[in-house]
Amino acid sequence: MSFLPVKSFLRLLAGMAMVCAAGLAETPQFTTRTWQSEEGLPGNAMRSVAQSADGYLWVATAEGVARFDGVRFTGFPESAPASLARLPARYIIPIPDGSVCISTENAGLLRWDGKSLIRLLDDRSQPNIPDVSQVIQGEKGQLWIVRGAEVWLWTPEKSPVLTPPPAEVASSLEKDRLYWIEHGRYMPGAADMKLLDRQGRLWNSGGTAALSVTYPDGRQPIDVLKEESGIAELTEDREGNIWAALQTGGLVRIRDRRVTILRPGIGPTAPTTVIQDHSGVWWIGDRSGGIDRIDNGVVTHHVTVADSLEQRAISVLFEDAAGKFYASTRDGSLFSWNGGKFIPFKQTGTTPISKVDTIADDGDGGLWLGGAYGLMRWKDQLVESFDFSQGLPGKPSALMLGSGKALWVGTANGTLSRFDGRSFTIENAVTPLAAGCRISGIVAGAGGDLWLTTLGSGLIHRDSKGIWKRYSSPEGLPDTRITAAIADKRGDLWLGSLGGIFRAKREDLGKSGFIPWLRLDRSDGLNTRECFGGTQPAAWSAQDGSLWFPTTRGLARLHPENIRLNEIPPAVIIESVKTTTDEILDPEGVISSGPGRERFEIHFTSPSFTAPEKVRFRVKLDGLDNQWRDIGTNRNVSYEAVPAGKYTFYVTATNGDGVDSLAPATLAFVVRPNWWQSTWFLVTASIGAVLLAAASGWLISRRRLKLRIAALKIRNARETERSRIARDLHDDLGASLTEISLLAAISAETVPAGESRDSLEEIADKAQHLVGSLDEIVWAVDPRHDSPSSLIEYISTTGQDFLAKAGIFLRFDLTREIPEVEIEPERRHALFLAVREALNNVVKHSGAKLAHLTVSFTDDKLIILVEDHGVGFDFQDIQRGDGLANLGKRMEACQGTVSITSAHGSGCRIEFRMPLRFPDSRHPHLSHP
Amino acid sequence: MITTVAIVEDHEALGKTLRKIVESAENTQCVGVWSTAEEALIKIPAFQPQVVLMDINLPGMSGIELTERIKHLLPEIQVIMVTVYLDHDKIFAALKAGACGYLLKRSTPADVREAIQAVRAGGAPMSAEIARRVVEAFHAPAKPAAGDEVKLSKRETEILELLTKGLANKEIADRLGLSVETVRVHLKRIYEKLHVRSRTEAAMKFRDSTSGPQWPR
Repeated sequence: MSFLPVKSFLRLLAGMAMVCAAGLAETPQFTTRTWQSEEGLPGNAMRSVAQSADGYLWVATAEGVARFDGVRFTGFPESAPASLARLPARYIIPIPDGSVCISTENAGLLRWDGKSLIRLLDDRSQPNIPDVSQVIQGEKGQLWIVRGAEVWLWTPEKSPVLTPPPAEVASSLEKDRLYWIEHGRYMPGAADMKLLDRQGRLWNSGGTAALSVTYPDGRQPIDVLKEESGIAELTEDREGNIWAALQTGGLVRIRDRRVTILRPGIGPTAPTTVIQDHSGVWWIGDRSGGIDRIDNGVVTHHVTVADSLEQRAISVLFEDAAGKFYASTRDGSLFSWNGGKFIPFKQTGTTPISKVDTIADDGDGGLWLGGAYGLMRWKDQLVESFDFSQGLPGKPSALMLGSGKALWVGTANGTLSRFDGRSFTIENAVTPLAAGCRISGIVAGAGGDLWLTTLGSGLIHRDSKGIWKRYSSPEGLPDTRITAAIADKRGDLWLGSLGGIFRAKREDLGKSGFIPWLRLDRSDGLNTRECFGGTQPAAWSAQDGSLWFPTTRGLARLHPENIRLNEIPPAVIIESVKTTTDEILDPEGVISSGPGRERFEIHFTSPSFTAPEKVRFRVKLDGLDNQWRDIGTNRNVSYEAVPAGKYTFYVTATNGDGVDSLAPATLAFVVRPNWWQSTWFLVTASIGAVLLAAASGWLISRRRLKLRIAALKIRNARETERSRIARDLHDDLGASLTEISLLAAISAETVPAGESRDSLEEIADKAQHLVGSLDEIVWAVDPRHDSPSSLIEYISTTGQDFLAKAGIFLRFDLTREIPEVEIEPERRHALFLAVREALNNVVKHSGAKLAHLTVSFTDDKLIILVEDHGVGFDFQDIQRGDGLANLGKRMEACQGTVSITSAHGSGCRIEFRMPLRFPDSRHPHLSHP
Repeated sequence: MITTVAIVEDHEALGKTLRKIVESAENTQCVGVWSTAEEALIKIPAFQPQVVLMDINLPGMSGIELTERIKHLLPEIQVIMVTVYLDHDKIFAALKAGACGYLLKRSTPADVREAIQAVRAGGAPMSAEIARRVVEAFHAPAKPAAGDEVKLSKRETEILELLTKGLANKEIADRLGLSVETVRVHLKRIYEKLHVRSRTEAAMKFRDSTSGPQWPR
């Protein structure tokens, strides 16, 4: 049982060693990805796949036809006739004008032009008719259609006619047929299926079992797919991806790996570090303290600590200037390679030589060791130790020998210093840039540049003039947790991170602002985005120029000069627009909407297939926000409450390799003004008023009714407008203010106590207070709150909050018998302000800890009572200008009264009374006419 | 133990901020921010968050309807409604649909984290206005045909009465000689009963409308 894994382990190792023995022919590697019905493919039994002129990939399955943008499969819209949309398709035939023809099985030829699905040629009249195999575009919108031995001419004006093709059409048809035979389609009469791609590679379907590829240089063909399902069709998209439509297994994309993963071990023994020594021998440290040594293809495995239960990962491998080899285990010992074995360092003196995270040459035949025990110099079996008492600012996490034998020391707490052998000179400019994050690497660039990588604060650069600058998210760095860094032969900088492998071009480094980063992740062949590191050296540059990054799922290898970029600019297509009332598919021209404020939700896409998940979009709505806005990988954007006006929407895309769309997709919008804002309404309304007056002369009984209807209409319009104002305030302003308040509050939590924290907290409070004020305005204008129950509820809720801030409890006694009448906004707001003033008095003057709010109703009055048992006051004092003096005025505004009872030491009792006006319909004599 | 939280919020920036707040707490983790109910309805069953912070006003399907659907699919998910404006009727409708608490958007980050902890431990705090509506809902005469009618226990009624008078959980706990935790657990029961009751009511209505005389005279 147990020898089997060992055997395969060795075979894997050997396989890897072959590759490692640099200079051997590159084994092409492909990464494949499959889409099946779970991913939205209409069905797994595929017939055909082809890319249309507008960039979509069209797939025909037994369950129907769909177009694919790399992310989503979309069937025909509901407007397409269901009888046609569900016909079983045989071939997808793209037409250069952007439309797509679908040859069906025994049901003729269909064409989709982006708007409608129609049948061009019908086969159903006769039995045993062959399927349409070719369609080419002729003059003036004509199509030449091949069906078996027949050639039909279709013109937009009339139904297709059996037409013998003229000589030049016949030769075009033959050219078209040969094209398809060479491009992955089983054509009638062709023996087999093959695809000749743009790199000159020949892809063959070997019958039912596999797909293999033959390179033009005459190498042995390589098996690519071992699907059990046969291949129905192959196609190459414009980006160079190969697509295989499997007869029963769905859709498969095949692309060149940009990163190769080598897994020297099996199971948990993931490689943590890798180096190639000067003699070309590879050393791979793993997670359980073992090291594989690969010398000329022969793999030997060595353990640092034999039979130890507690196995520690190898953290650093190092070869010194004299060719001596060292290994350090994480939080464990340091070993040297001696006589085919790793020998642990013995402790000499008081400082143990262990827990080493980083090693550098000292330039004099000795070593610098950095780690948990500070900085040590080890030379001729002697240890010299430097720690915090000599000014070392933190635990060293990265060391690099600089000019003049000075040592750069990066620490785990984010400082960089220069050590000249006696004292540490701290680079004060680095400390705020690293913001406490571990320095994971120090790399010297050409021309005196210095690069620092951090775990969390991105990349820090010192240019030749000594100016420090940080590259982080605002500069486009996809992940700021950098674990490893290395420069390639061109001088470009490669970074391993917890979010993939990134490259910045030498010419872009040092620039300020956004710079393009190439990001390699799972779509490029990585098994995981997480690269090991945090110590130095972490990544390695091999003698053949390849770069190696240890990841949590194997060693990642890439050849910087072989990285192919997807240089096809992504086209952007606006797919649909949702307005408040409507949904428009494939919108064109001007979208007209309204009246009044409108909500737009725009869905768009970019057919891009190499790394669809990495396509990013930027949008702009001219007329509303004139700034381009990066919306990430979202494929829709919505605009709320767009006021009346004219707008143009722009959207542009950037593919995963930083290539932008040639031109943005655009769409024009018009939002019409409200009816009461337009002149025709005013004119019509005046005419209507004149007519009404004329009619009233001879129809007195009708006149009353009409006047009442008119009054109701005006009131309705007013209420609608009030609701609208309330909603808009609430949606736009409220949400933004809330966001400010929350952002400030959460920022305040992350900064240390001090002035900036105080101001952040103040901003949070102020914004929160503003939201409260906004609530009050919304409440005051919204007609939904014109009832006593809403008034009471609002007074009690806000009252409780208000008193709670001053540490006073508010108890309620609210009646449940609430009459249903209307209270006009002016009156309820006035009453609210009056009660608020009374509560304010409780806070300011009463000294009470408890207050009571009682609400009751008499037949025609609302009575609100605010009581406290605080210090009270004498009536003469009211004249001092207390808010209480205003109560009378406020209550006058709502036709109510106020009575205040208080005396020194006996609390205060304020009673408000406001008359309720019942609507006419409740009036008895009206209900009995 | 990590609590997984999803956010359904159509205001993109606010969604992001809520995410930051959720992630600022050590024991909560945000599994996604979705901007429409339709999207959330697909993603929530996939991600199975323990708690959902749900905007009450969403474009398209409302937060209330989404709550109802989610509770139907995954009854163990705790939904907290998030609202800019204190609209008790809407909040109450959401609670009836199965939400177990609500938050004002202008709450502080600490309030948000507390509310998440509270629903995990028991029920979220209940305001006097909501308590009043709950009492009224249970006071309304139930249909005689409703056999297994959901009723509030004596203790639950006591707690609701004190809530309507404006007392906070702590004061209620002191007055009734209970721990704050127990009050929370009672609140959770009340939220659940409210949901069950409104569901039964809906079922009754449905039955009433379908079980009319088949052959009218």
